Amino acid sequence: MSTPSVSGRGRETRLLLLVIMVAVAVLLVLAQFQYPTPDRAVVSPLAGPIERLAARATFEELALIMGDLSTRVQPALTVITLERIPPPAPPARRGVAPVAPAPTDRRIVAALRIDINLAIAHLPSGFRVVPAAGIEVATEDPDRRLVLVRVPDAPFVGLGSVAQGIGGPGYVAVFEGARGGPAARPLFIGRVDSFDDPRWTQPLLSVGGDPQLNAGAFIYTLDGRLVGMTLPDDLGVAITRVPALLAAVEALRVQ
Amino acid sequence: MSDQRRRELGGLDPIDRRLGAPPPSPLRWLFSLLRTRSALGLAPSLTPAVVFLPLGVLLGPHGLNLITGDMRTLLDLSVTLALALVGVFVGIAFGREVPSAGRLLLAASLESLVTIAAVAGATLYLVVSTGLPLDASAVIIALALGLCASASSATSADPDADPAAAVATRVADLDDILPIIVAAGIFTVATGTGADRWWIALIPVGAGLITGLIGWLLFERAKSVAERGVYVLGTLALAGGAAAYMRVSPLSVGLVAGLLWTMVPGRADRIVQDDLGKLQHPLVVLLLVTAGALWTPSAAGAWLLVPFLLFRLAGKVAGGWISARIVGDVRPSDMAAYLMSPGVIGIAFALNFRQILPAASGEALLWAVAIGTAVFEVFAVVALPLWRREPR
Repeated sequence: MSTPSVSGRGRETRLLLLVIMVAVAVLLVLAQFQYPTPDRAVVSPLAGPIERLAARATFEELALIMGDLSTRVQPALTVITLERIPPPAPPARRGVAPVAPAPTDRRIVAALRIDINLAIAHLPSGFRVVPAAGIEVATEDPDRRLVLVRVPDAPFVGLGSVAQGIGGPGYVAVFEGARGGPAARPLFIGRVDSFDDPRWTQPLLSVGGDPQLNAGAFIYTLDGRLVGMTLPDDLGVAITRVPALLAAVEALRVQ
Repeated sequence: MSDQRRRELGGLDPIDRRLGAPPPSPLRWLFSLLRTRSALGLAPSLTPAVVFLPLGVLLGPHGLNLITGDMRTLLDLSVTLALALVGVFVGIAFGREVPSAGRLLLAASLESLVTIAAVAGATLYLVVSTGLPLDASAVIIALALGLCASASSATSADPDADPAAAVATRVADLDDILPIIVAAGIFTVATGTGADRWWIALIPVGAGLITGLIGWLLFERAKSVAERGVYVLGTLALAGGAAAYMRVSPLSVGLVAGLLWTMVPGRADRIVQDDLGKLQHPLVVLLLVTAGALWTPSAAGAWLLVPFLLFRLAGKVAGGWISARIVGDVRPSDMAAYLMSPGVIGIAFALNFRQILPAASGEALLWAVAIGTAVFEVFAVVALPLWRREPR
């Protein structure tokens, strides 16, 4: 067994102090930096190992897939609020009480981030974007019912993988606007047909049957590839695929 | 005396060498080279973490993708069993050492406490000051990283070459007890809500006592060795399964069961040690390979790695300094050097926390601990022999 001498004790103390000082110094230097990008989304803990081994119903499996997909897609989307433009007030007539303003018709729609502070969304006819903190209209395309909106800065993670198209029957994920952010739901589609529309550079996709789709939603495959955006057409709603949507965005940006 | 350097992977022990073991085949020689060998004895060698963590990464989704989703789920279950096994061994060591080595237990607990405090404090400061985005409580992440950092294996200690190594090895064995108890507390805070927490805090104790009691009633009544082995494995599966089902730490359930087996009449602890000893090495390898396969590159993990490396080093040096003064007869720097090798307990803690933390934080924690463990193992091989060569 070794018994430390006086010089040995001095060396031990120097070693201890040196290690602590180096550690603290490096920590203080590192603490001067800010973590580059807030790339973490709130996700739930993993299920326990036994729960993951247990057989699950197909719907539970679908719910898990949607939960995972929602976590991955959320950073690419944001939400904006729209309101119906009130009709011009009729001229006031003497002796007639003024008409009370109609309640405001508001909608929350999803918007796809295309840059750090820009997002594209659907703007229905007769609606306008409600200004909010950091949210304002950049440009509009009334013909295609699109609006380019300035949104608060956030890291732009890109559009991710893009699907060339979809085919039925099968499930896709629909992302729509909600108060707290984009909301995801699965949608079963029985049939998909493409058709030409002169306003767009690529054929649009028409979902057969009652698609239960509203204009302004974003469609993803269950493995997280962006298919496109739903926009109104003469028979209801059609899906504008990503290349056509991006071409429209470019046109809006150069306006 | 068994060769403490190879406790994690098996292999020839000093008695085998003295008796004249048969010459190894070339393949066995190659594996022997890759196994843990004396770091402080100046022999360049590789430790289990250095070999099996990269192997897991290679087999996982970021390598050859041989370990895919379903297999990872199965591996996760085996991790739970491995954690219960580690807990059982720590509990048995605790039960045996407490009556005779209160001083060592105090030294080991203080050493681990200093390391936990150093790493957790530094991590919390860094997370708050740099705005590191985490999807879990920064305090829980900081404490979890501190607990992972506190583990020591002293696998590099060679009791034949240095008597001080025997003391360091016992300190390393006992310094896991306090972290397991603290980890059980973190599980309680992380998974419980309000008044439930008090009940959740009692679950590991209750599950461990019930499991231990069942095992004690079964082991010595077995009619054959094979039957006894089935009972032991079944009891381990019960401990791990109960912990996983009730979302408490399998380490703490195993610790309580192991402790009980040393206290009850009979030789339950010897039986468990003998039978589970056969499983120990494969499960340790499985633990490391699984940790490698679950490894996901993470920027937040890289951020957490800095306090883990710097303050684990500082914590172990300070902890070695304190514990050497309590146990006496060991140079503080020697004690710190022996405790520098983290072994697999830190990885086990990280895998355990990954089961309850939100996915991103769990992955970041595992990333930092896996890389940090490999770095410290290499450090123990390369740098510490030079450190210990200094004149006394």
